[in-house]
Amino acid sequence: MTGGKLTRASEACIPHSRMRRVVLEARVWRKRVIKRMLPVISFRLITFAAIILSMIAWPTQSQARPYRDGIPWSILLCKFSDSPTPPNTAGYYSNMTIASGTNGLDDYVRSISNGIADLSGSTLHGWYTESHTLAYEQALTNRWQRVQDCLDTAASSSTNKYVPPAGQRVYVITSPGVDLAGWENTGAIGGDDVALPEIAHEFGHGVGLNHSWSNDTTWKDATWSGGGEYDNPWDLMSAANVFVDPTGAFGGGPPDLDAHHLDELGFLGKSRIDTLGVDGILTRTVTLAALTHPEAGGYLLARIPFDSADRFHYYTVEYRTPDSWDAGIPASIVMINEVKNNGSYYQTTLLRQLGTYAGTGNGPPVQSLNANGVTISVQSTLGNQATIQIHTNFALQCSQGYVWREASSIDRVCVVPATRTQTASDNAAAASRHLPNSQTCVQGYVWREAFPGDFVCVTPARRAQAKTDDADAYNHVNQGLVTYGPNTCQNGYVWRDGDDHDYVCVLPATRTQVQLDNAAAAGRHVPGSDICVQGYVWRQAWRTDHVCVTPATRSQAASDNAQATARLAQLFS
Amino acid sequence: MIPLVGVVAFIVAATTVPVEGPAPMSESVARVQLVKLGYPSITSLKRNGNYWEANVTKNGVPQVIRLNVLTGARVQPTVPIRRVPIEHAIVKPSA
Repeated sequence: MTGGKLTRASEACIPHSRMRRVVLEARVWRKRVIKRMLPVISFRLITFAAIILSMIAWPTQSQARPYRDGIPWSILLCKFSDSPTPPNTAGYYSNMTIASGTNGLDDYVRSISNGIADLSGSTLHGWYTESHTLAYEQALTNRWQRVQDCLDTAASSSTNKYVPPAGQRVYVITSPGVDLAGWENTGAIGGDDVALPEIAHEFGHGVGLNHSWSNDTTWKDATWSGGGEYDNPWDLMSAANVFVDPTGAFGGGPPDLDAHHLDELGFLGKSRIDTLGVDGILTRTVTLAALTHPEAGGYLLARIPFDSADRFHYYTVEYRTPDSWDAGIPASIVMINEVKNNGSYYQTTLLRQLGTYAGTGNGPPVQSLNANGVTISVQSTLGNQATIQIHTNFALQCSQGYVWREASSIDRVCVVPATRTQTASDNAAAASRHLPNSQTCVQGYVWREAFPGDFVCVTPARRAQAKTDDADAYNHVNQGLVTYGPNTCQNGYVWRDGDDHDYVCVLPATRTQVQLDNAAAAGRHVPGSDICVQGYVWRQAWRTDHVCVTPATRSQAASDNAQATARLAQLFS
Repeated sequence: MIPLVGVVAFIVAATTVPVEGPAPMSESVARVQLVKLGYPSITSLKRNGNYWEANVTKNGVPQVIRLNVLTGARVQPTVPIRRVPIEHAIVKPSA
């Protein structure tokens, strides 16, 4: 073995029937191989070798979500012993993938991640010339072997030796092309005619994303695909069945990821996501900003949970406009998806109109919904913003010692029982505290404003109490039922919250320390600079994190980063 | 003697299962792409192997556009349909 960093590719992304068949074929093949080799090498020797291999060649865990900073890839270019001159230079593929400012993959990732991630740390190597012929590679039945042969060639090169760092994802481009496939969290292979949407799609698989789907389950895009799979042309993970901007570089500009996939990668700030109901308010009018316009005010994603049996089963709403990386989509549109467990992973399912459209893969995305106790309707779209009305009947149960406030029929904020009693009392006295025929409160009283439109008149102290209860609503619900999305932490852990994008799960004491360090940040810098005063160092919980902390705290941050994926409640992919 | 490392690599490789690469672009997506390319007048659109082949008209000139179904990229430069001059047309001799 040489530089091949094998990982076991995920099977989660292909239809079950096909997945089972492929796995069975692999098992049968493996048995045949072992049977053939038995006369030569004892089974014990093979077992021993497999153990050794797992220690040497099985990679350390790839960097995994939530992602932040550089997501390094190794791009390798390989041709065969009888290949003609490749159509493009290495520089072309470098510009397409890892270079900045070229409208290639690095720019795409930087843009859709809202500036928190890119491909820095990536390298490109080649062209290498393999000893095998094109016909030999085409005839291979083990598709990974095509990747492996390129890796082996690079590792044994006398002039340009390269072995990818352990665990780093690999993309192999061959000339001519012999395959088009990906291995989750591992790598991918494509041909010399690869276009940007295609390579971006494989990047998506490489960071753990699965395909997107629609509810049109009688439509199949390809013979191997499941019903409704690849049927969200607004989402990169349906490529190549996606709306590409044909004027884009390198074969066209791919569309953005859908909001759930962005959420899964950690690319949406927490303050830009509204999860209906977790604050006890079951009905809201929400302003959405277009995914390609984070500078516009409003949420980028609305989650609407409704399933008491599965807190990760919910609807999502997002807004898209035909510009930037979404320049290929036909028009501005609100998209409603259902995130649900398909038995292998949580898939995003675009809700299309069916009826006469069923089986066509062409039904317009629904613009309203009334199902599972949830209603969603688009009120308006204007420029980079859309206004939607959302409601759910799904109210989270309170944690022990708390009850619903029920200031109104839509108020499910969890409060102590005494507050609930007081609220009911205030409601009963409401009429007597208004000036006649008006909503104006009599002297000494003010609107409670426990929720938008709450004009019950209470004492200023009661209003302050309501405000405090609203702010603490998250903390008083049954945490085991709360949906915080794909990056929800396991019990016992909380988000570090170093900033709006910091989804790393840490112990509560660590978060408290982070809050203290953030608050003390200004006093730990040499005035007029971001240099730390003596005894402190940059925390570097992420690349640009220059909060000054003790060296021990910085070590803690690095350690927490390394544990981030393992502390997630649910691996979505 | 088969090299031990090669045998083990062979066995391990057999257990790796790839995810299929991009799936084909559907007809409805191809139509949107043609409009974005500036060809709203599409007289026919047919799948021809790895390509969507469209007969379009732009500025009164009929053209053939081919889109790669896996990349969405236009595969060839726009090819105007050749109009055979009347004087060169093959006229089937009358019986």
